[in-house]
Amino acid sequence: MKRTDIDQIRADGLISESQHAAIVSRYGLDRDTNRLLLILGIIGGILVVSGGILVVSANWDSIPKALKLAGGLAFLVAAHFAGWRLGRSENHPAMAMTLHFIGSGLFLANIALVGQVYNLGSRPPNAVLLWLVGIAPLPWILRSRAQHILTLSVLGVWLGLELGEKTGPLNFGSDARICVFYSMLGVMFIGLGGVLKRSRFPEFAGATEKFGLLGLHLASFPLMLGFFYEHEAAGRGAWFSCGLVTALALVALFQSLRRGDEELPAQWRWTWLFCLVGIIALAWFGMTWRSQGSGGFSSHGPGPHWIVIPVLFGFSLIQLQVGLHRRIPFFVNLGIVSIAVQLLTAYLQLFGSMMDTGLIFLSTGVFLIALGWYLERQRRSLVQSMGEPRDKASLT
Amino acid sequence: MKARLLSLVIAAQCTWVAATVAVQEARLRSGQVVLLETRPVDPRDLLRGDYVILNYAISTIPNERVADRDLDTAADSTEVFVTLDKKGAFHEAVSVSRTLPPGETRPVIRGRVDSSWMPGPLRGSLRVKYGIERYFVREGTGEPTGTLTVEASVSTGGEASIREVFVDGKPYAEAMRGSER
Repeated sequence: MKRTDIDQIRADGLISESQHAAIVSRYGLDRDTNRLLLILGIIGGILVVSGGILVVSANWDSIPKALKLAGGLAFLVAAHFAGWRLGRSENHPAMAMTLHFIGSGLFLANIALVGQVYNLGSRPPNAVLLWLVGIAPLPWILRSRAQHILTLSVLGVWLGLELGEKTGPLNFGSDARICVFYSMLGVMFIGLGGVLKRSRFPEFAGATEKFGLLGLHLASFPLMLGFFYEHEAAGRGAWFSCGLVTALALVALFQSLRRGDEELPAQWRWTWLFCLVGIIALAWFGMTWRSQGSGGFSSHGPGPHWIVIPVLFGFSLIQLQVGLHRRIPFFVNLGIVSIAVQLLTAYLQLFGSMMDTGLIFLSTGVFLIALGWYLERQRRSLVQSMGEPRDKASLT
Repeated sequence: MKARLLSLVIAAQCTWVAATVAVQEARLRSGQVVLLETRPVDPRDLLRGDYVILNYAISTIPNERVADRDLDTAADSTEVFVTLDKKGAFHEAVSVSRTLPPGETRPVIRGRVDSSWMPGPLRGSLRVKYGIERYFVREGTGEPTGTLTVEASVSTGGEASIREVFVDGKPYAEAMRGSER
C-alpha cells in the first residue's frame, strides 16, 4: 500500500480525514523514504563495515589489542547513537536506518574481532547465532524493514551452517538436499507474513512474505533437476529440522488464514493455502526420494523431476492470480520469472542431450528470445491490469 | 521507551564483547604456561582474514597413552582431558582421559576428539583438537618459514589460550615483519 493510493482514496471522498490519518499512521505511510536511497544506504553500510574489517586486518600488528577492541565497541555504539538521533528528527529516515544497519553489521565485526584477537576457534554457526540473537530485537524496536530482512537472512545463514555442521545435532546428512529445508522455510515466512499483517507490525508483513516467496522459488529450483535425486539421502537431523519447520509453517499458515485476508476472495485464500501446503509436501518428496539408477546424468529420462516441474509451474500460475487479486507486482514479476526458468529447465533437460552443441545453442537462443518476448508481453499486460477495476484483472 | 529498549540491546551486545574479553584475559593471566611444538598450515578465513593453522604434536596421541580404553572408539567431538608434562623444551601429552584427573598438578588441557581413526603408521592414535589451532596474523604473513612454537596458557578447568607464537624463537609479528606476500 502506497501513500499516494490512500491520498487518492481520500480525494475521491471514499474515506474521511480521520480514517485517512488512521490508515497512514497504522501502516507507517508517513515515513517518506526513497527506495533508491535505502538500497544505496544498505550497500554503503555493507561497504563501510567490510572496509573497516579490512583496514584493521591490514594493520593488525600496528594497532594495539585494547585499541582494536575499544574501537570496535565505540563504532558500534556511535553508529546506533547517530542513527537514533537522526531517526528522532524524522528528517533523514533513510540515513538513520543505514546507521542502525551499520551498527548491526558492526556487532558481527566485533564478534569476529574478539575471535581474532584471542584466536578463538569455535564452531562458525555459533558466531552467527550470537549475531542473530544480538540483532533479533532491533527490527521490532526500530520498526525497520531493513533490519527485519537482515535478521531473516541471518537466520537463514545460521540454519544453513548448523545443518551443514557434521558434528552438530541438526546435521542434515546431505548438503545437496538442504534446499528442501529452505523451501519449507520460505513457506513458513509466507505464513508469518500473513500473521504479521494483522499484528502490531503490519509494515513487516509484505517484506516477510516476499522474502519467503523468493526463498521458496530459489530453493525449489534444484528439485526440477534430474540429477538432484541421485544425491545421498538426508540424514537423521534432516527429519527433525524439516519436521519442526513444517509444523511451524503449518501453524503460521493456518494462523494467517484465521486472521483473514480481505485482499483475497475466500476461494483464492483457500487455494493459496492449499498450494503452499502442497509445496511443503513437494519438499518432503524431494527430501525422501532417491533414484535407484546406476548414476550419471539422467535428467532427460523418466524421473521425479517430471512431476515437480509441472507442479511448480501450476504453483507459479496460481501465484500470478493471487498477485493480481492482491495487486502485488512482485508476485506477478516473480511468477513470470519462475515460469521462464521452469520452461527453460524442462526444455534443456528434454532436448539438451539430444542435439550437438551448435544446434542446441541455436535452438536454445531462439527459444529463449521467443519465450522472453512472450512472457514480457504477458507480464506487462498483467501488471497493467492491476490498475484496472478488480473484475477485469484476471489471467483469463 | 524505544530509546530505552535500543540502549538495552546495545548494552547487551557490548556486555558480551566485554565479558568475553574479561574471561580470555583472565585465562591468559592466571593459567599454567606451556610451550608446545607445532607445524603450520596456511588458510584464510573469509571474515577474519589470514590465519595459521597450528598442527600440534600433542594433537596426535599414541594409543598407549590413552588411559580410557573406550576412547579408541569415541565419537567425534567427545570431550577429553589431556595431561601434559614437560619433556625437554616442550610439553608433551602423557595421558588422555574422559574426565579431569583429580589432584593432578601438571597442566591438563581440555580438547575434543577430532577423529579416533588415523591412517597408516598413526593407526590407533587419537586425534584431538584443543580450540587453539588457529592463530590470526596480519594480512599476507600467513606463510611462515622456520620452526614454530606456541606458548599457551591453560586454566585449571583445562581451557587453553594462545599467549604467543614464536618463529625460530622470535615473536611471530616481529619475525614476519617485512615478509608480506
